[in-house]
Amino acid sequence: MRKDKSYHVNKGLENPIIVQTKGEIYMDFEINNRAPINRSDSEFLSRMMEDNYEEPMQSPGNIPYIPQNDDIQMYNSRYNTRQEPQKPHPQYQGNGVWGKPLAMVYSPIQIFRNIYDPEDALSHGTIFKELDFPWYPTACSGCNDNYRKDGMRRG
Amino acid sequence: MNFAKDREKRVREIQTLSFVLTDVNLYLDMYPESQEGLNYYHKYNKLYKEAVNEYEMKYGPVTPGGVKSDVEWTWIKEPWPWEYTR
Repeated sequence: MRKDKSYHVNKGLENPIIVQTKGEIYMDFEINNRAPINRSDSEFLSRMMEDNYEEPMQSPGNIPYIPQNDDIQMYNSRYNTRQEPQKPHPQYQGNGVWGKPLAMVYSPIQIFRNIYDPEDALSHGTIFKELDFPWYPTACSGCNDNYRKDGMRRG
Repeated sequence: MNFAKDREKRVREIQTLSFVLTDVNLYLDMYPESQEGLNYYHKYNKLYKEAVNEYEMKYGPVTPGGVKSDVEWTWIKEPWPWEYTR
Protein backbone atom coordinates (compact mmCIF):
# COMPACT_ATOMS: atom_id res chain seq x y z
CA MET A 1 0.00 0.00 0.00
CA ARG A 2 1.41 3.38 -0.93
CA LYS A 3 0.56 7.00 -0.25
CA ASP A 4 0.90 9.88 -2.71
CA LYS A 5 3.94 9.43 -4.89
CA SER A 6 5.02 9.28 -8.47
CA TYR A 7 6.77 6.31 -9.96
CA HIS A 8 7.79 4.86 -13.30
CA VAL A 9 5.45 2.36 -14.88
CA ASN A 10 8.00 1.01 -17.35
CA LYS A 11 11.24 1.81 -15.65
CA GLY A 12 14.27 0.79 -17.66
CA LEU A 13 12.75 1.52 -21.04
CA GLU A 14 13.70 4.55 -23.12
CA ASN A 15 10.70 6.70 -22.29
CA PRO A 16 9.28 5.59 -18.99
CA ILE A 17 5.76 6.68 -18.18
CA ILE A 18 5.55 8.47 -14.86
CA VAL A 19 2.35 7.86 -13.00
CA GLN A 20 1.13 10.17 -10.28
CA THR A 21 -0.95 8.43 -7.68
CA LYS A 22 -3.15 9.98 -5.05
CA GLY A 23 -3.76 8.14 -1.85
CA GLU A 24 -3.82 4.40 -1.79
CA ILE A 25 -2.89 2.31 -4.76
CA TYR A 26 -3.26 -1.39 -4.91
CA MET A 27 -1.54 -2.61 -8.01
CA ASP A 28 2.16 -2.06 -8.49
CA PHE A 29 2.97 -2.02 -12.20
CA GLU A 30 6.74 -1.80 -11.93
CA ILE A 31 8.31 -3.40 -15.00
CA ASN A 32 9.98 -6.12 -12.94
CA ASN A 33 6.67 -7.30 -11.55
CA ARG A 34 5.98 -9.65 -14.41
CA ALA A 35 2.95 -11.46 -13.08
CA PRO A 36 -0.25 -10.02 -11.59
CA ILE A 37 0.52 -11.76 -8.33
CA ASN A 38 3.71 -9.69 -8.02
CA ARG A 39 1.85 -6.47 -8.71
CA SER A 40 -0.39 -6.71 -5.72
CA ASP A 41 0.46 -7.17 -2.09
CA SER A 42 -0.97 -9.47 0.54
CA GLU A 43 -3.08 -6.67 2.02
CA PHE A 44 -4.67 -6.02 -1.37
CA LEU A 45 -5.43 -9.69 -1.84
CA SER A 46 -6.88 -10.14 1.63
CA ARG A 47 -9.06 -7.03 1.24
CA MET A 48 -10.34 -8.31 -2.09
CA MET A 49 -11.51 -11.42 -0.28
CA GLU A 50 -13.52 -9.48 2.30
CA ASP A 51 -17.29 -9.39 2.06
CA ASN A 52 -18.77 -6.13 0.74
CA TYR A 53 -15.36 -4.90 -0.22
CA GLU A 54 -15.64 -1.54 -1.90
CA GLU A 55 -12.76 -0.36 -3.97
CA PRO A 56 -11.80 3.21 -3.06
CA MET A 57 -11.72 5.76 -5.85
CA GLN A 58 -8.35 5.40 -7.49
CA SER A 59 -8.25 8.21 -9.98
CA PRO A 60 -11.05 10.79 -10.30
CA GLY A 61 -12.61 10.70 -13.72
CA ASN A 62 -11.93 7.03 -14.29
CA ILE A 63 -14.67 5.54 -12.16
CA PRO A 64 -16.14 2.43 -13.77
CA TYR A 65 -19.89 2.75 -14.11
CA ILE A 66 -21.85 -0.18 -12.78
CA PRO A 67 -25.50 -0.46 -13.87
CA GLN A 68 -27.85 -0.24 -10.91
CA ASN A 69 -31.27 -1.82 -10.66
CA ASP A 70 -32.92 1.54 -11.53
CA ASP A 71 -30.95 1.59 -14.75
CA ILE A 72 -32.07 -1.92 -15.59
CA GLN A 73 -35.74 -0.93 -15.07
CA MET A 74 -35.29 2.12 -17.29
CA TYR A 75 -33.59 0.02 -19.93
CA ASN A 76 -36.42 -2.49 -19.79
CA SER A 77 -39.14 0.14 -20.22
CA ARG A 78 -37.29 1.97 -22.99
CA TYR A 79 -36.46 -1.07 -25.07
CA ASN A 80 -39.46 -3.14 -24.05
CA THR A 81 -37.32 -5.95 -22.79
CA ARG A 82 -37.22 -7.78 -19.55
CA GLN A 83 -33.88 -8.00 -17.90
CA GLU A 84 -33.80 -9.29 -14.35
CA PRO A 85 -31.86 -7.25 -11.84
CA GLN A 86 -28.75 -9.25 -11.31
CA LYS A 87 -28.02 -11.06 -8.12
CA PRO A 88 -24.67 -12.50 -7.17
CA HIS A 89 -24.13 -15.99 -8.41
CA PRO A 90 -23.53 -18.22 -5.37
CA GLN A 91 -20.00 -18.77 -6.58
CA TYR A 92 -19.23 -15.07 -6.30
CA GLN A 93 -20.84 -14.45 -2.93
CA GLY A 94 -18.25 -13.68 -0.35
CA ASN A 95 -15.35 -12.98 -2.62
CA GLY A 96 -15.92 -9.26 -2.47
CA VAL A 97 -15.79 -8.48 -6.17
CA TRP A 98 -19.51 -8.73 -6.93
CA GLY A 99 -20.81 -5.65 -8.71
CA LYS A 100 -17.52 -4.99 -10.46
CA PRO A 101 -17.66 -4.92 -14.25
CA LEU A 102 -16.54 -8.18 -15.83
CA ALA A 103 -13.73 -6.52 -17.69
CA MET A 104 -12.45 -3.02 -18.21
CA VAL A 105 -10.30 -2.51 -21.28
CA TYR A 106 -8.12 0.40 -22.24
CA SER A 107 -5.74 0.90 -25.09
CA PRO A 108 -3.18 3.70 -24.85
CA ILE A 109 -1.50 5.02 -27.99
CA GLN A 110 1.36 2.70 -28.83
CA ILE A 111 4.54 4.44 -29.91
CA PHE A 112 6.77 2.66 -32.42
CA ARG A 113 9.85 2.20 -30.28
CA ASN A 114 11.91 -0.38 -28.40
CA ILE A 115 11.94 -2.89 -31.25
CA TYR A 116 13.53 -6.34 -30.92
CA ASP A 117 15.92 -7.67 -33.52
CA PRO A 118 13.98 -9.99 -35.87
CA GLU A 119 15.50 -13.15 -34.35
CA ASP A 120 14.61 -12.06 -30.81
CA ALA A 121 11.19 -10.91 -32.00
CA LEU A 122 10.40 -14.37 -33.33
CA SER A 123 11.41 -16.06 -30.10
CA HIS A 124 9.50 -13.52 -27.96
CA GLY A 125 6.39 -13.55 -30.14
CA THR A 126 6.38 -9.79 -30.69
CA ILE A 127 8.63 -7.14 -32.19
CA PHE A 128 7.73 -4.75 -29.38
CA LYS A 129 9.71 -4.99 -26.14
CA GLU A 130 6.92 -3.06 -24.45
CA LEU A 131 4.40 -5.80 -25.29
CA ASP A 132 6.60 -8.65 -24.14
CA PHE A 133 4.93 -9.66 -20.92
CA PRO A 134 4.86 -13.36 -20.17
CA TRP A 135 1.49 -14.40 -18.80
CA TYR A 136 1.46 -16.47 -15.66
CA PRO A 137 -1.95 -17.77 -14.64
CA THR A 138 -2.42 -17.39 -10.91
CA ALA A 139 -4.61 -19.29 -8.50
CA CYS A 140 -8.23 -18.19 -8.42
CA SER A 141 -9.89 -18.49 -5.05
CA GLY A 142 -13.46 -17.57 -5.95
CA CYS A 143 -14.13 -19.68 -9.00
CA ASN A 144 -13.91 -23.34 -9.85
CA ASP A 145 -10.62 -24.90 -9.12
CA ASN A 146 -9.23 -25.20 -12.62
CA TYR A 147 -6.03 -23.53 -11.61
CA ARG A 148 -3.86 -25.00 -8.92
CA LYS A 149 -2.30 -22.77 -6.32
CA ASP A 150 1.00 -22.84 -8.15
CA GLY A 151 -0.68 -21.37 -11.20
CA MET A 152 -0.39 -24.44 -13.39
CA ARG A 153 -3.39 -25.41 -15.50
CA ARG A 154 -4.93 -28.74 -14.65
CA GLY A 155 -5.32 -31.49 -17.19
CA MET B 1 28.41 -24.72 -45.87
CA ASN B 2 26.45 -27.92 -45.66
CA PHE B 3 23.56 -27.96 -48.14
CA ALA B 4 20.87 -28.91 -45.63
CA LYS B 5 22.22 -26.48 -43.03
CA ASP B 6 22.19 -23.64 -45.53
CA ARG B 7 18.66 -24.44 -46.52
CA GLU B 8 17.51 -24.61 -42.91
CA LYS B 9 19.20 -21.29 -42.17
CA ARG B 10 17.42 -19.65 -45.10
CA VAL B 11 14.05 -21.10 -44.11
CA ARG B 12 14.57 -19.72 -40.62
CA GLU B 13 15.46 -16.33 -42.06
CA ILE B 14 12.28 -16.29 -44.17
CA GLN B 15 10.17 -17.31 -41.17
CA THR B 16 11.77 -14.59 -39.05
CA LEU B 17 11.24 -11.87 -41.64
CA SER B 18 7.72 -13.08 -42.29
CA PHE B 19 6.99 -12.85 -38.57
CA VAL B 20 8.24 -9.29 -38.10
CA LEU B 21 6.25 -8.25 -41.20
CA THR B 22 3.11 -9.77 -39.70
CA ASP B 23 3.66 -7.91 -36.45
CA VAL B 24 4.33 -4.57 -38.12
CA ASN B 25 1.27 -5.24 -40.27
CA LEU B 26 -0.83 -5.43 -37.09
CA TYR B 27 0.76 -2.23 -35.80
CA LEU B 28 0.14 -0.37 -39.07
CA ASP B 29 -3.49 -1.52 -39.16
CA MET B 30 -3.84 0.45 -35.93
CA TYR B 31 -1.50 3.34 -36.79
CA PRO B 32 -1.46 3.61 -40.60
CA GLU B 33 0.15 7.06 -40.44
CA SER B 34 3.17 5.90 -38.46
CA GLN B 35 6.27 6.81 -40.49
CA GLU B 36 8.50 4.70 -38.24
CA GLY B 37 6.22 1.72 -38.78
CA LEU B 38 6.19 2.24 -42.54
CA ASN B 39 9.97 2.60 -42.67
CA TYR B 40 10.29 -0.63 -40.71
CA TYR B 41 7.82 -2.37 -43.02
CA HIS B 42 9.67 -1.32 -46.18
CA LYS B 43 13.06 -2.23 -44.75
CA TYR B 44 12.01 -5.75 -43.81
CA ASN B 45 9.70 -6.30 -46.77
CA LYS B 46 12.70 -5.70 -49.05
CA LEU B 47 14.80 -8.16 -47.05
CA TYR B 48 11.94 -10.68 -47.10
CA LYS B 49 11.53 -10.48 -50.87
CA GLU B 50 15.28 -10.86 -51.34
CA ALA B 51 15.43 -13.84 -49.00
CA VAL B 52 12.47 -15.55 -50.69
CA ASN B 53 13.90 -14.86 -54.13
CA GLU B 54 17.32 -16.26 -53.21
CA TYR B 55 15.73 -19.32 -51.65
CA GLU B 56 13.51 -19.97 -54.67
CA MET B 57 16.42 -19.61 -57.08
CA LYS B 58 18.42 -22.11 -55.10
CA TYR B 59 15.94 -24.60 -53.63
CA GLY B 60 12.43 -24.21 -54.98
CA PRO B 61 9.20 -22.38 -54.30
CA VAL B 62 8.34 -21.14 -50.81
CA THR B 63 4.67 -20.84 -51.77
CA PRO B 64 2.81 -22.27 -54.79
CA GLY B 65 2.98 -18.74 -56.22
CA GLY B 66 6.76 -19.04 -56.23
CA VAL B 67 6.93 -21.74 -58.93
CA LYS B 68 9.39 -20.45 -61.52
CA SER B 69 9.70 -23.34 -63.96
CA ASP B 70 7.82 -23.20 -67.29
CA VAL B 71 7.94 -26.95 -67.77
CA GLU B 72 7.44 -28.47 -64.34
CA TRP B 73 5.15 -27.87 -61.36
CA THR B 74 8.02 -27.67 -58.87
CA TRP B 75 5.77 -27.08 -55.88
CA ILE B 76 5.30 -30.80 -55.31
CA LYS B 77 9.05 -31.39 -55.63
CA GLU B 78 9.45 -29.74 -52.25
CA PRO B 79 9.72 -32.01 -49.23
CA TRP B 80 6.37 -32.29 -47.47
CA PRO B 81 6.32 -31.24 -43.82
CA TRP B 82 6.49 -34.87 -42.69
CA GLU B 83 9.55 -35.39 -44.84
CA TYR B 84 11.60 -32.73 -43.10
CA THR B 85 14.68 -34.03 -41.37
CA ARG B 86 16.79 -32.20 -38.90
